[in-house]
Amino acid sequence: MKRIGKNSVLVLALLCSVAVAAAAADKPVLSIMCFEGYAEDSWVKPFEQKYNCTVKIAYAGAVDEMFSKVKAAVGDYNIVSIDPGRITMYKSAGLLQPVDTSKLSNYPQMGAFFRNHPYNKLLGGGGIYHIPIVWGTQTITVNTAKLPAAQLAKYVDEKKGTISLDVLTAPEFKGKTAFFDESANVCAIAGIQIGAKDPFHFKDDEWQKVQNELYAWKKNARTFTSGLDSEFSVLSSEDAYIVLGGNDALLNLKLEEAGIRKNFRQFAMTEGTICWIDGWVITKPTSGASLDLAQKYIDMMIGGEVQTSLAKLVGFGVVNPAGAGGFSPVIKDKRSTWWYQDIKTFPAPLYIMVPEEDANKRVELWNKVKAMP
Amino acid sequence: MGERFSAPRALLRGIPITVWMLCLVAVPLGYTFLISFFQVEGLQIAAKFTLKNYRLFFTDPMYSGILLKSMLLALAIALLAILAGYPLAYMLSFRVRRGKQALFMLSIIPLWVSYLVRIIAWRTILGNKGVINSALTSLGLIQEPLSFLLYNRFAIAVTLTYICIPFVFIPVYTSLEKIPRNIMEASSDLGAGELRTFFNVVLPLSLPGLVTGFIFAFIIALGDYIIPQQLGGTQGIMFGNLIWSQFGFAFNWPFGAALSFILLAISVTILGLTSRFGSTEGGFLSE
Amino acid sequence: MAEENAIELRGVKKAWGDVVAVQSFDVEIRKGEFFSLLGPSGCGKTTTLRMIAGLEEPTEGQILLEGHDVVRVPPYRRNVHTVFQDYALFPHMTVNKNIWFPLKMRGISLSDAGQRIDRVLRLVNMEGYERRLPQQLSGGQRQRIALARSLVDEPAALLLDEPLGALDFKLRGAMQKVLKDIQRNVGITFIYVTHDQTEALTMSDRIAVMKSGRVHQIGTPDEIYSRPATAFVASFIGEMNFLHGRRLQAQGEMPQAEVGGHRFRASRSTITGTPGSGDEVLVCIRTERVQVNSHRGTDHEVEGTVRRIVYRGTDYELTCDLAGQEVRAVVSAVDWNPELRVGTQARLGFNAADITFFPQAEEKEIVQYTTEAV
Repeated sequence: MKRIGKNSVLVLALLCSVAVAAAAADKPVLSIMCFEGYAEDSWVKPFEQKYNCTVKIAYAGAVDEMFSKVKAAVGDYNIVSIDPGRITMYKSAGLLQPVDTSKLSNYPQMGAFFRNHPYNKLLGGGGIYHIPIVWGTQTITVNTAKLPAAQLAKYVDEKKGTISLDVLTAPEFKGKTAFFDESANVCAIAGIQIGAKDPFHFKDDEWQKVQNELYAWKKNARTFTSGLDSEFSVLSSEDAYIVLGGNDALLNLKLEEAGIRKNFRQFAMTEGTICWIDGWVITKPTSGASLDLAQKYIDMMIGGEVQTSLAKLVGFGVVNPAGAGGFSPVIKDKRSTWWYQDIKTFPAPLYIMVPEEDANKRVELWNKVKAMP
Repeated sequence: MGERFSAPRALLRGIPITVWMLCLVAVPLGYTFLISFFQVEGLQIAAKFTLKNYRLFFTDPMYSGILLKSMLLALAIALLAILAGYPLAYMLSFRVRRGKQALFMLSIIPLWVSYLVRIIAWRTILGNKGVINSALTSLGLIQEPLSFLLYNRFAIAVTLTYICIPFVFIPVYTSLEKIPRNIMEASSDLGAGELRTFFNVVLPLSLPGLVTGFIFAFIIALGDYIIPQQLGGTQGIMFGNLIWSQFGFAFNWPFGAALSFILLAISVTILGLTSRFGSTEGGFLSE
Repeated sequence: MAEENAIELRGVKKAWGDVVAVQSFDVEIRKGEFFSLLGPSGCGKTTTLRMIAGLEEPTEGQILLEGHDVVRVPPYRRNVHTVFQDYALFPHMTVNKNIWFPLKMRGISLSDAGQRIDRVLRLVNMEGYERRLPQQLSGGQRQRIALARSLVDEPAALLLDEPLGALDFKLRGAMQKVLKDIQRNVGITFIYVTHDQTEALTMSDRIAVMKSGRVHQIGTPDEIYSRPATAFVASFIGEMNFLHGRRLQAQGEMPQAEVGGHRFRASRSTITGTPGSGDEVLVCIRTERVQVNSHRGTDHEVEGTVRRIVYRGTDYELTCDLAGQEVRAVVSAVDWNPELRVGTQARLGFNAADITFFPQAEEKEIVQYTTEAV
């Protein structure tokens, strides 16, 4: 009994932890703080065996909960799963150290897009602080059963397999579109549509254009969505035929489960889209055996084997094409997020989500758009 | 009861409720009030006194506009809930003789069902492939689904009214049950038919319950942001959503706190104004 | 002649399923009459009143108000008002508004009603209370306001349901006088429900005595008291001795019975049919009619042993043993002979004029109120 079951009775857990602590006292320890799904037994157990170590896992339910826990006791955690949007926050709080990628044997196999993307250096101030493990996109899902190819031809680039954001304002689809109710990302995508160079840092003249664009979207839309269930419900109830959403793979899996995926097709946007990344950072105090284990754990997670497991388990995009075999046919399908298998194949410009210039201003802009009649 | 206790004992007895009120009401409210005068620097709340949160509310017409719109909608919902809940309570209290208890339970059973489940249920009823549209289509009454049922203010009003009905029904029913039956007989005996008995006797005597129900419904409707977001479609921005966006997306807790406090102040004012009308002693009823 | 009657009941019956609350009630109540419905609780008197008011619908029969059948007329269209036992004043209205209510229902504005309100307030002696709310009044005051409210639009009859029941003893006495005076002044027919025999006797022109839905007797207080129609009426009103006797052959006009070896003659008997010798009968005499050690001559004199003496202020109640049966006698305190003690012999005198025979079968209907029990 090396790890304590989460559901054990508290007293039992306390007693056992004392025993385990005693038994494992001389073993090196790797302590992880992450969201559920990034520390599964299927690779953690072999890891512990292989390196004769103990992996301690702590979960957090939300981004800010994770941050405050790590900030309160940074010494208690070696690696933390975060997205690039949080790098600055952690770094400026003095919680991070750069990752020595030369220690990661699988790093060269990772998609060049991630390795060469400047987000790490920009946000981290030079070094590489964040090693991605999975990624996801914002896409447009279309009910092709209701909207035959002829109607869509004007907007779809069949060669690339993308759709133009213009569908959101197409008068013929008025009352048939929907998009998500969240300020930062809608602003960013609208920014891409108006041709902003950096959808996360608008120039002064771009704000008004973004607002106008979003207002045009809103005028054409049936409703806003608020997450996976809402997107699924709007599509399956046929309240909207064209939905811009942020749950591409999960939405496909849900549609498949409901047996109606054949009616839908997911597109990346021709103009480009934004993508999120989850990855690992190493905390500043980590050193010695723990640092060694931290690097080995991260390396394992970007390796072909665990990437395959991740593809199977969560269905998000893999950073190492070697893991593509893990995807279900639902994901690999041409009507789905086939680009998850290899970032190289993504058919349009892709913008990694980084902290926006002014979250407040975007919320205000979005509220204004919503308040407009 | 209380007058028999000596002062120190009465004081001792007051301690638990005072502590409870302090922990659950006064402290969180005080904290919210306090940070409504703070500001955000970077992503941290800085304890530097400012009035800019309140100033923004009063200078940007968007906020007051949405507040006004939300209040009008809440008012409409409260009135609709009364229109639906009052007759229900009246029938149950005066017309039903057998199985009263069971019917009462049936009337408040919706409260046992999760709030979110009830929202989803309404989405299922009102949607393009929902119960209403399916029924109308299969009856051949319509070709295209009626889209005005869902994702607009109508859907918000219907669902929130539904949510609020039990909160009107319970206090109204209680106040109707408290009316001595011989007072109604006296009214009939003295020349008033059912309608005039209702307006002259039943309605004034049930006013405390009615006002309580109105306040419940109004405040529930005014503060809700889930239903506008889930069912309101592109018209779904209410004051509650504004507050929510400050906490959830803008990370601007001080401004969110200021907006919350403005909403609270309005609710308390309405509570204070309307509760005066709920009294049967003195007040306007007995001019 | 029907026009002379304020209210007439013809074969009025009320039943809830198998439970009969009122059985076949016939009565004609004259205009301006003070008519009481008297009986123990559950006798059907309130149900009868509620049927007249229209608050209950009779199962059978006709109810005539000023000559018109009103069985199908709702209460708010009947020209009678009820004064409820707990007053049923509208708690949210001032005294003024309460009294205005029946006039308001007739479309009379408050200002137009002012004079009439003032008049009834004067009548019940409650001037100056116009702006009070019911909860600011005492029980007696509320009663008077309820009365004023019912009188203000001058109904054909006032139905009073134990109106003094909730008042304390002294206040009740005072209110009885007030009520009677008001009734005399306004001349409105009163139908008065009570279980208090004294109240009924002192106030009423006529009384209907009821038990278990059945009307036992309708008559003036004197008739009811001195010539009770049944053993129940005899027992319910006043204090009555019921002795078990055996029927003897009549000698002359008067029926005779034997009690403990003594022969009693009765001026009255309700026993119908041919009297069989030896039949059991109830021999009745009012307690105050039993003479104790009297020098005035009586028709029958017997000896009895004193078992109990109860002093009641104005009089003494003496309980004697007469051949195994108890005889109670009330002796005025003025005439009291202190030599009478428990265990001594007393001479009990009876006059045939005071004795009534009831059928033995009526014994089960007797209600015994003894001074000890009250």
